[in-house]
Amino acid sequence: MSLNSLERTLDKVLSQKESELISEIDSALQNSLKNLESSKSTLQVEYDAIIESSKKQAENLKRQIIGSSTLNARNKELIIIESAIDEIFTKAKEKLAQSNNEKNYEKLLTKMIQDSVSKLGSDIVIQCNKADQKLVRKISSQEPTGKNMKISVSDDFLDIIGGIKATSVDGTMTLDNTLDSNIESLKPLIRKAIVQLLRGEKK
Amino acid sequence: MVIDGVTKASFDELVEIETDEGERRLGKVLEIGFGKAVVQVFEGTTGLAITGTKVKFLGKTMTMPVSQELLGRVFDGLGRPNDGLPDPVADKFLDVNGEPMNPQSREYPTSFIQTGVSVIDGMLTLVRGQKLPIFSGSGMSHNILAAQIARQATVVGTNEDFAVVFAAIGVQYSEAQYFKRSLEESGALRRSVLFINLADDPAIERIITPRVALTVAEYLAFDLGMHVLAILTDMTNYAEALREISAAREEVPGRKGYPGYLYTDLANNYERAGRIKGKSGSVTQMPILSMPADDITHPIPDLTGYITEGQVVLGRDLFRKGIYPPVNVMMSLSRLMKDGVGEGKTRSDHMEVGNQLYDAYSRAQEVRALAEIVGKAGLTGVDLKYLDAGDNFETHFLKQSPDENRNLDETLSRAWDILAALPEGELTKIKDKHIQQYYKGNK
Amino acid sequence: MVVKGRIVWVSGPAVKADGMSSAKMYETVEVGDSKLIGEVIRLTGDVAFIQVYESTSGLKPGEDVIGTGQPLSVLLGPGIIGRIYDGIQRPLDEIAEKSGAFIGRGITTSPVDMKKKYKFNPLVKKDDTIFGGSVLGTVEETPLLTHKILVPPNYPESTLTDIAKEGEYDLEHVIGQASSKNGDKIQLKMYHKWPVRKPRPYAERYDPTVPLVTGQRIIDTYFPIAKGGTGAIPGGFGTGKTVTLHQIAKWADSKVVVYIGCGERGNEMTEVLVEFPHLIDPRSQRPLMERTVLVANTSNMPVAAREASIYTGVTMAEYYRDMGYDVVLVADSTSRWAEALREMSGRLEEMPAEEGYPSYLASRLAEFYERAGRIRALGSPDRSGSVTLVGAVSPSGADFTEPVTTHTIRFIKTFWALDTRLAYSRHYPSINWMQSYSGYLEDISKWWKENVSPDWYDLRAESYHILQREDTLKEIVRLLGPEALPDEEKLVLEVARMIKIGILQQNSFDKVDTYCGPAKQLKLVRLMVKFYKEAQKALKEGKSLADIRALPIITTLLRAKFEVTDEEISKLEEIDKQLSDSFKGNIEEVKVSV
Repeated sequence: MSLNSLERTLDKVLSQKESELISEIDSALQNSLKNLESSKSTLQVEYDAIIESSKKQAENLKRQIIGSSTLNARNKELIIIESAIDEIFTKAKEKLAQSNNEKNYEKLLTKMIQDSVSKLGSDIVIQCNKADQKLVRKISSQEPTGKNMKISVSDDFLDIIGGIKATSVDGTMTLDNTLDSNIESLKPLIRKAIVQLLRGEKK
Repeated sequence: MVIDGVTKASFDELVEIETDEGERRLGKVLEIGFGKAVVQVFEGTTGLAITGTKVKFLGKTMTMPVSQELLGRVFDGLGRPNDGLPDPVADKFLDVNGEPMNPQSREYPTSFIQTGVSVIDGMLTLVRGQKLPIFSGSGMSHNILAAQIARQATVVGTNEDFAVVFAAIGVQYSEAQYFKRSLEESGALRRSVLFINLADDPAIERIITPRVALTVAEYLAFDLGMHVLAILTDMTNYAEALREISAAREEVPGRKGYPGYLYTDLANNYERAGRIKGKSGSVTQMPILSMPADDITHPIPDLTGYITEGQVVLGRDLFRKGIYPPVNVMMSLSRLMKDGVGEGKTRSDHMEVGNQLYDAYSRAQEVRALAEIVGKAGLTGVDLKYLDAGDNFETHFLKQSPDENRNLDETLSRAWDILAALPEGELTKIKDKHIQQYYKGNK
Repeated sequence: MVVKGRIVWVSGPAVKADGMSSAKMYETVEVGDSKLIGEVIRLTGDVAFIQVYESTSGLKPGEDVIGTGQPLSVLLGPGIIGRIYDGIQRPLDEIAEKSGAFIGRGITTSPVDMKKKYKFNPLVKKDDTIFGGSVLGTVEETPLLTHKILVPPNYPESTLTDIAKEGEYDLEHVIGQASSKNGDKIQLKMYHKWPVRKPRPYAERYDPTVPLVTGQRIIDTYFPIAKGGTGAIPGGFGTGKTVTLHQIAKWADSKVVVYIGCGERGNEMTEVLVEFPHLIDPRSQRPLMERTVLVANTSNMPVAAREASIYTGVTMAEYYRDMGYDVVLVADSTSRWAEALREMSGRLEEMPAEEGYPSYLASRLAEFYERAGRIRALGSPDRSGSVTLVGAVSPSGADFTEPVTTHTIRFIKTFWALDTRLAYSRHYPSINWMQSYSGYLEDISKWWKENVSPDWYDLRAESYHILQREDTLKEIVRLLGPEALPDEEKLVLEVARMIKIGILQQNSFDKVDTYCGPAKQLKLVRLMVKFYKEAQKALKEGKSLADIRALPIITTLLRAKFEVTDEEISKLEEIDKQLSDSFKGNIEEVKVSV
């Protein structure tokens, strides 16, 4: 083999190697590029997923926070309104307690006593507060009493703002007609009216 | 409890009882006449002495104060505040027994509710105004399912959220708490009203709990125009309380010691659901009950099933396999599905796909049973495909996470995935048009 | 004399009142200040036991009870059809008008519009002799129904002294006057009242020989009911009882349908109300609502009115029967009615029998089903009509041995047993073909022979025999697997499956399949039987079962029920031919391959 041909062969081999090498490098490059690309996209997906889920979480948290804060604010309002209602109530009761001298009150007591007689029948015992005793005695004495009908007024005073409590003589039945308990049973309706006033709503 | 010397009381009247120690309890008149009143005491009669107990007839039947303000509040089983806040200011006082809805005035329920739970949306569709109970057994995941539905329920096409009325009837503290927390975490508490009667609260109180809850639900729906989802759990405890009272009164019992009027009594609660012509709101009811010994023929699930519009039955097998929600689809049914799905409401293939899934799963169950006799090797090609479809159904369609909210398209797409495993000729319940459009298998 | 007593005791729908010694049994009374409607159901001395048809909440001892002197009655006259009533014949639309969407109390209304004018066509003339039950004339109640104006059945023979001319009259108008033999003057209007607990009389009872065609294959072909017959449909919840009853109400070939929703779901009644006006009767092309009356006493409505609703319904049914029409009465559910009896009985503190039901449960059920029948009506002209009674039974726990089911079975002749297992596998209607039976089969086979085909009875029997054989073979399969059977028996299983899918299963929500006429029913059965015979023959000739199973004709046979409508029934002849051809082809193939 001549040198020339040897050279040529070497050249050939070399160039072949070279091109092989180049293509190898090239494919490696391509590969790594591809890898990079693909890892990029998976990364992107993961990244998106994380963002998405944290967005969702944030959304949930936001809803939760908004939900509970509006609820808390509402609940505070309820408490404030309630204390206002209580205040109005106390004042109203005080005012009622002072109005025991009015003419209407006597009428009311009369009605209450008559009501007690009709509901409990026969003999009854009436209790009231200290201030009203005189008035109650006066009204009771005016009521028509038969042989089975006796109204006695007890000296056992009640701590109430007004009205009466009647008990049948055997003690089994009581009719509570005190102003206090009447107000108490009307309280839900009165509260509604107060709240409407407070909130400036019309009736 | 029997009270003597009563002449002026009326039937059903509310009664306040004061013990000799000054404690106050509520009750109502069950029977009145000949100078005697039979009174049912809601908080129980323990500690009531024959002498010294005072009884006050309040001259009215039991009412519940209602107003918009009730949303976001927690009450006890008799409708009294339980959250440290004052009594609600009432817009109205409503008789807790309600009145029967006139069938003529009802609007027939047809609007699809998306619950985000595939098995329900796809096969047991819930519609607005329906009463669909969950039949469960002790320890199964009914509360998780109910809470998920309460969080996720939406009326498709609108952004309206449901108001949730939740009545806990004789449940454990942790269960009630789970529910409350779940609503809180999703921000749904402010559109919810909770009534809590716990296992250690007086049993008799349970008679009232669903009634106050449904009274509020009706008010929110028909006075305020909201869509209400009422969840009552656990109705078994309610029925037991009823039995207890009946036994104490020495009434003639019907089946298994339950009173003969159990059906009527349950119906009086369950029928308080629906829609009314000319009103925008609705009451959708989801009562939950645990079947004693998982027995669906027990009087409580039995009578309930006769009244409600279908049932979602949870299966012990699936539950043991760790599948949530463990819905036994073969025993479950939604009677109103046919009216709530299809063209213009959901998707035109909805009903057919649902039916085909039933059919496929039913066949899969048969093949499973057959495989137990002849072994898997003895199965033919189509049978094997059904076997796969059955497994796939359980893992890919039925199973989902308690916080996973799937929309209807996703649910139906999953359904088609399962059907893709079957040859086209097996899809006998689906119209050709829809097979062309959606079938993913080999044609 | 008006009875006036006082309430002394209240417990739920049960009220006791004293001062009632002159009250009559079953007299209607007004109870309490809000005038609730009640009925005296027991009298002891001067204490009356009253069942109240409305909620008694708030009722007090001491309030008045006032008698009306009348037993609980319904008003019978034009205007009933198309309405929905509660258990005591109060129209629900008027209740809604008066008390809103929720039913209030103490509401009185008239069952029909007394002011509405109808065009009256007299069919009798002055000096004609009339009897109780005679037809005086007709009015058009709906386009589907000519209402015949009847003389009340309990009126004596009389001579007409006056009859209104053709013209428009309202219900209170006196359209005729007559005088009886002993000189009593009688005024006749277009309506009369009749007590609900008293069956309306008739002249003569006929044997039920004409089937009630319902268009439901398993009913008409396998377990038929006759016009004037009785049937019960028991089933646990979810078995499709109500759907089956709706199907009967929709498609039965009767003139009038009375549908009683007795203690069932509110939405179901709403569904009927929404659906029926849009459904078209296949025979008359008119909306079904024009021949339907609804009585709705849903489960949450007062329990005493539930007890009455059955009687209200059946009395209206008898009235239309007396005009000479076939009437179907569907009661969903008689179990809830029995429970209402039980509840009242419990409040009365009567001695209970099984499961707390009163001991007279059986006799009440018997009385109810006894009101069915095909009859010749009273009076002239001659006409025959029928009332067919179909009652749903809701056995607790789907247990057919419970009292209501066991007693009902004694008084009915057709029994459609619904099966929970079939329903779970979505086989609808879930009527179990092994447990069900019909006592009318022989009586009505003549009708089928004359009107459809002479071999009806045999074809039915042959196809049913396949189902019976399958039932026994199933046991073996359950124990040993299907491979244990010889091919001949495997073929039985295959054909039974085809009969189940192709005939027994019927989709009530499919436009075509919802109704299947008698001719088509028979054709389908004939095809199945033919398939079985051809396949048997092919097997004997050495054909393999697998090849038979693979025949495309099978799919065609299974789909025929909803592919071929009643109108294009000749298509079934083509299928018949295809069937013959496909076996011919196969047999030739077999020959070639040998």
